[in-house]
Amino acid sequence: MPPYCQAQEQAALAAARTRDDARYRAGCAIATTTALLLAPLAAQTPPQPTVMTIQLPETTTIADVVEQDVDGDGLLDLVLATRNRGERAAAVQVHLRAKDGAPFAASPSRPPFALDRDVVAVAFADLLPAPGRECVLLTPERAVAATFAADGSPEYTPLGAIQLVWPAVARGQAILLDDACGDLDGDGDDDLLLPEPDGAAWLRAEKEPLRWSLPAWRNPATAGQNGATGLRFDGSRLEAQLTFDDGDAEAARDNGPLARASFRTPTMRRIDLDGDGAVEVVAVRNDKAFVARMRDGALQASAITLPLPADRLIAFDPAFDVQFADCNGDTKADLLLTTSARRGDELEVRVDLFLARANGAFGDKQDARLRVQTLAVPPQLVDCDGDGVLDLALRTVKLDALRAFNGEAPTSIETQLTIFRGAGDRFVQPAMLATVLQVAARQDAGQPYLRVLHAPRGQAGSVLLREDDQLLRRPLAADGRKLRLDPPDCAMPLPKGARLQAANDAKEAFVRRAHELTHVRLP
Amino acid sequence: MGARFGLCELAAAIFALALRSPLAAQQPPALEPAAPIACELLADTDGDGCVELLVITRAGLVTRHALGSDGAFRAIGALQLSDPTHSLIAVADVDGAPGEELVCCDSTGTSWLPFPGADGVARPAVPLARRARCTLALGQPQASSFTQDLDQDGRVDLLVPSLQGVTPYRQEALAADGSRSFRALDRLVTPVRARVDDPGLERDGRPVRERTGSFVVPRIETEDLDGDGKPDLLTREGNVHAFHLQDEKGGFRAPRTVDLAQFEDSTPKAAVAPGSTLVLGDRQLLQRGDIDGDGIPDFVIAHRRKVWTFLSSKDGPQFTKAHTQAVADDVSAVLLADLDDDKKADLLAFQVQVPGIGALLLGLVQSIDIDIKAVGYRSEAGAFAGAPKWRRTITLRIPPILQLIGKQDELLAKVQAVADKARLGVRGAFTGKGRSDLALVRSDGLALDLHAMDGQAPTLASAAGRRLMRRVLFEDPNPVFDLDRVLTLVGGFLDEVSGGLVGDTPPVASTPLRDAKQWRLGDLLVGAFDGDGLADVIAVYDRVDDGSLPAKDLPLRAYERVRFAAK
Repeated sequence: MPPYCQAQEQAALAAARTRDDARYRAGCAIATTTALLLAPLAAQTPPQPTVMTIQLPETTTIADVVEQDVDGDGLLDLVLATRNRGERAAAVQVHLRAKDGAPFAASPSRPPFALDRDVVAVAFADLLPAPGRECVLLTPERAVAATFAADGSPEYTPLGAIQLVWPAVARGQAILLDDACGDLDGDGDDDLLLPEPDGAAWLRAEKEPLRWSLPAWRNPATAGQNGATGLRFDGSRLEAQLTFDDGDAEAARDNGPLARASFRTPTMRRIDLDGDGAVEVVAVRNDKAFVARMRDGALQASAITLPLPADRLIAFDPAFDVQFADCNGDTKADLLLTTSARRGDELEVRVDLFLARANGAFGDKQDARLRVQTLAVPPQLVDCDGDGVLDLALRTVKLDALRAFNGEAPTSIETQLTIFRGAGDRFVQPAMLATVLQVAARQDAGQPYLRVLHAPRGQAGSVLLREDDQLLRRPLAADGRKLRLDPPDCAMPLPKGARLQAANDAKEAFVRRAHELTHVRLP
Repeated sequence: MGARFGLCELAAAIFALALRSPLAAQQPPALEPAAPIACELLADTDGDGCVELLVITRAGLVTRHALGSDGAFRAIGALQLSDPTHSLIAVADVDGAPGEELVCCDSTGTSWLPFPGADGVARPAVPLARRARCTLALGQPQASSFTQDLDQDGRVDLLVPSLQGVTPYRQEALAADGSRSFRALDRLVTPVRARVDDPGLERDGRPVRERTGSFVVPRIETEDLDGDGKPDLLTREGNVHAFHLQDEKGGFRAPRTVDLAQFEDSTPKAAVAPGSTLVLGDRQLLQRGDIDGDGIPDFVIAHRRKVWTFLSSKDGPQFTKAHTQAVADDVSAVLLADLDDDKKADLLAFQVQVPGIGALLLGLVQSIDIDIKAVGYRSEAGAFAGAPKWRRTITLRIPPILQLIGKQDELLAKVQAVADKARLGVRGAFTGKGRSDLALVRSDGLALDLHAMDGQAPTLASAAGRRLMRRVLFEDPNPVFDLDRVLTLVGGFLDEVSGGLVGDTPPVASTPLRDAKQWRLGDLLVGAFDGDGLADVIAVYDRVDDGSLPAKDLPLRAYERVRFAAK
């Protein structure tokens, strides 16, 4: 960054930080927008990205950030859920994306929308005749669209009764649902798919909601015997509930809570499974993929039994992952199934590719298999070499290096980024790229981040990663049939405690701190 | 002739075996409603001295069942809840007539719900407190302990939960015309626990398989804080604890509060060796226990290396006059427990040192140690001794995580074996009036054993737990505990508790339970169904889910009266 730019930015940030709280409370988000010029001639210093920072008052924290086309102009806008600590008030603010120039204004494009205390989640969908997408407020039992009258006062239109999977607001902040809105039935209009206990509600404009009910979540550990203990693995947690009873049932009943509720539902993903151009909703639970198709105003439900290997770890598999994507270009979604198995004293991860048959089903046996070490993150399907076919990027933990460690606890560990070329029906071995990367393992180190960026057609992609409090972009360069990870062509220092969040556009990312959001656009 | 003799001999042998066999039991037909069940309650709702089984479906249909002379359940009336997704259900005597009423608190208020009379005509709900509303998104009717006699004046009060706390409605004395009224008291702040899944995980590229949400409104904690024999209320909001003492008239005085944030040890936080260990916790801790043996709970606040002791009296808790003392290490947790059996609570301070991030990552392939320093100070003269009487560091050894994951089947089998030792049981006068017999699920889960007992059965959990804690912390010669040792300890503890409850005495009768692969025992209900003065046991089974039904159509339950042959 040229020195004058640095000075400008620091001065602006300092000024913003010292502004009095009263002005903050007036709802004026103070922001600093800095368009940084690249220094193409500075060969020693990698060019820096363009950044724009939204700063909130000290008493207001950023609870969530999503991108969504709020005004219906085809561009993804920025939506922030915020929480004011002192007043315990939650709000949503929208920053519309500009077609030209700086992508976002520093201050909200419309006044922040204060949320009532019972609003659990917020989505945006065009369900009313008003232009653009409405802000849909979701309480545990109601969906209401909020619009603004000519005088700016909010108007509320009930959309229907629901039962959200979240029965109460937690931590005083709302969840932003960026995956709820979409045209599920192909009629060109927005629909809302809302998570309900063990299912979902499908809300459409001026129509009765439809409901999708799923079987109950099955405990992969064990059900135990009569009247004994419940054991269950839930995500990364082992829960053991001991029914310790000396027979005084009355006392036990009186000691129970006054009220409680606990719900769950599988995450719903929208995928065009059969390649017909219309999306299906897929939910994975109990070793099955449950599929819902919304066609002709009706909901058609079906289920696919996942071809899981018999020797996989059943109760708790840290690598378990299910992805659907068209790997061989036949427009039908193929299945990428990641499971773990015990191999002697070692743990082995298998990434299996099942190609969709003509009828959309999957075979019992995988079409291709990769065996790798313990994964640090789920596999990423991305075209890294620009040939238009999805490749497979894996990040594994170098266990050998860990085992060789004898001294004090390490301050960094080695991970390996491996990229296998996609050949449509398999991933080609040996890998196109296998490179070792260090990950900080210190108390004050930020959360690790690595994302392989999609390659433009005919060119190699790149890798966006965090390294030593810097956000780096390292290009992938073609080296014959191999790929090479080059030194960074773009770098940006990260403030302490910052958390990185991927953006929809591979060239963009968000740097989040408690009161500050920085939008980063890479050159 | 010979054949006849043989048959008689055989019949006599079978008869004798049946008499002697602990599995000899008569199983009456079970009640298996077709609709998914929300909850069930036992109550004598018609005042005939016998309880009925009230089965409440998820859709809010309440069906009352009595036991017929053949031992089978017989439906004797049903009613429909008007707002099932917000209904809290309890049984309590609110009309003064014999028996108990079904009380419902929903979004329209609190009422009691009479069952249809003999003519089968529905009767309207009887309002109790229209402002006592439950608007929580429960999803289905829920049994709750919201009807309690908070001030022990013999009249049932209401505790109405919300996400902001609990509002008590105190029942006033009956009006001249016999009508009842409830007066709302100030809302009590309780630590309501609400959770939602973190959307940030998904945005960080860590897929979330299941989205989850929950809340729990805990009951109001009560304890006699001033030794007057009446329950007082304890509430908490963040660091501020409040104590509401009950006055002579049954009301509650303005709360005494203590803000733990005011108690700060100026000693710097324990130093941390870079990359090695961290001392868990740097917050103020509050514990209560009877330190001076006067029967009134006293309080201890600890922060880092400083401990403040506050003795309570008949005036209740006080937080102005403290005995302060320093302890050797930063405190991660404190416990007040009578370690030397002198009926006075001793101070047990723990310092937990967990490995740093680097060491935790190494824990993938190497075992890691978590050190727990335990220091015990004896209670003496209304405070704690300056020097610790008990002191030791024990080490919890965690095997390599990846090895644990790889061998999860063996680990789960071990944990399950220990967990299976925890047994469900109920007490009641099963074999004779005034007795406190114990019906306890057998350790293999195949049968329910009846143990005849005189008087109250011992409650061993706390005593056995204290013994186990003392042994583990200060007496066991080996201070290193790996996973196998921990499981062995817990299993031994459960064995000790179960053994202590029933001793070596064999059961006087047993009855087989259903096959847990099809129907799993979820609960045991106790009540006198048939007017013989003896209690009956109702086994409540959940049908094991085979995935064929959507979750909204579950759980399906079966209710079976358990009849012990020896009764």
